[in-house]
Amino acid sequence: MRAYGQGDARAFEVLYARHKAATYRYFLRHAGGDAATADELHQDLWLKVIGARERYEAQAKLSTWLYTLARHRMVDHWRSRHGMALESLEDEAIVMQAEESVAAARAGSDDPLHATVDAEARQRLFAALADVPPLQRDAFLLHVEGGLSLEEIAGLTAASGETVKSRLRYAYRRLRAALEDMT
Amino acid sequence: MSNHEREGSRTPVADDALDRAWQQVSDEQPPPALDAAIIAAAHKSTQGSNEQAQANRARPPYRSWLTRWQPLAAAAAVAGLAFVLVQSLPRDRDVAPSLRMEEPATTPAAAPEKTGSPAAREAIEAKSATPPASTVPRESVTAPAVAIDQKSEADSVTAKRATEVDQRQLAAPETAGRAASAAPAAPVPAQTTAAQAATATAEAATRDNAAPPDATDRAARVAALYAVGDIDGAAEALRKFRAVDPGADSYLPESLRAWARTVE
Repeated sequence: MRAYGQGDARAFEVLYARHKAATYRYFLRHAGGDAATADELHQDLWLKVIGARERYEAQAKLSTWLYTLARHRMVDHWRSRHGMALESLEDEAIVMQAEESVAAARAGSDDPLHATVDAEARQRLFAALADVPPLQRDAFLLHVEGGLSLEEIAGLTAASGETVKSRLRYAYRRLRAALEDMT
Repeated sequence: MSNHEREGSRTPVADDALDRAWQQVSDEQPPPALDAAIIAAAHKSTQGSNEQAQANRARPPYRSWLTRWQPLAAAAAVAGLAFVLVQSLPRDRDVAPSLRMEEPATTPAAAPEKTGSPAAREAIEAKSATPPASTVPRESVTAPAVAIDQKSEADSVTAKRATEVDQRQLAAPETAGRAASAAPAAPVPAQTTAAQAATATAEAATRDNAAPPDATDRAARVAALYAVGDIDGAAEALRKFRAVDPGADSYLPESLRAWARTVE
């Protein structure tokens, strides 16, 4: 990023090739598989990176900085789309609704149109993740797609390590349930 | 995100089986068109800044009107200041004459020849080549000194002598009175005026400037001093004259020769 900040466009190509898939999937999973939304958010993120090239200062890991931008963009998207912040979705009522949605998604995954096992597994997993409350989902995606550690996620989301651990545990439990159904 | 990276960041709550299943199914990539658009934007950004940087390097740094003309303006200002300074400085040549110019104003009498004694008139007439100081223009008075030596040293000597002349002028009436009382047998009448004394002394001083004085000048100086009643001064001048020219007495007017014979 520093090389790109000094005008080396090739450095950006390397940087983008390394992170583009993970950031794209981060948005795609948050958008419930909506490719158009993921495209829009992904493009916004990287244009922001391009715009910040001269201001970038290596104060933390690049991936942490990158996912901080990505998460801010995601929060903005949630606010504009649903009129609420991510934090407001963490109460118990939302969690209960999410669990009901997981059950519904599990029922919907029995759709006979899914021809292959892979396609079915993907559908189940994604459906299960889509029904995980946003903060848990966000922690899970930051961990498995962004490769961020528990501490990094805690710093990025301004939450305690225990809170992040709890969110991750919840997300894993949900997804494990979906995976067990497949096997 | 590689598997190695994912494993490296594993948390205590992670589930390996789930992570593997997730990695198998989660392999989406952004559309190539989106990649191309983003990379194009990145190139455009760097290209724009590089072109700007090249343009900045190629273009000479902007210099304002003031910056461009500042050296010339400063040089012109210094030159102008030097010119004004030189013009405002007093010229050495003007210093000494300015003192002389005051002589007529400080001298009470204006026509010494008409009221002076015959001896004084004769002494002055003996120096026929040099007109009286009061009637001589300033330039002609100073001209000999300038012609002989253009250096300012000569001018300063002139100024010094002119100052001495002024002092003598102030002391002249007293000297004249004293001479009249001390030497009643002297051929010079006591009614010699201060104006005559000043004129004669100034003339003598003027002659001093024209060095070296010839015999006629020296004789005239002796006569002038005698005429103003400065007998001692006249005697001293005569002695010096004799030292230079043993036949000095022959240059003196007839009226002074008897007195000259009394001078040892």
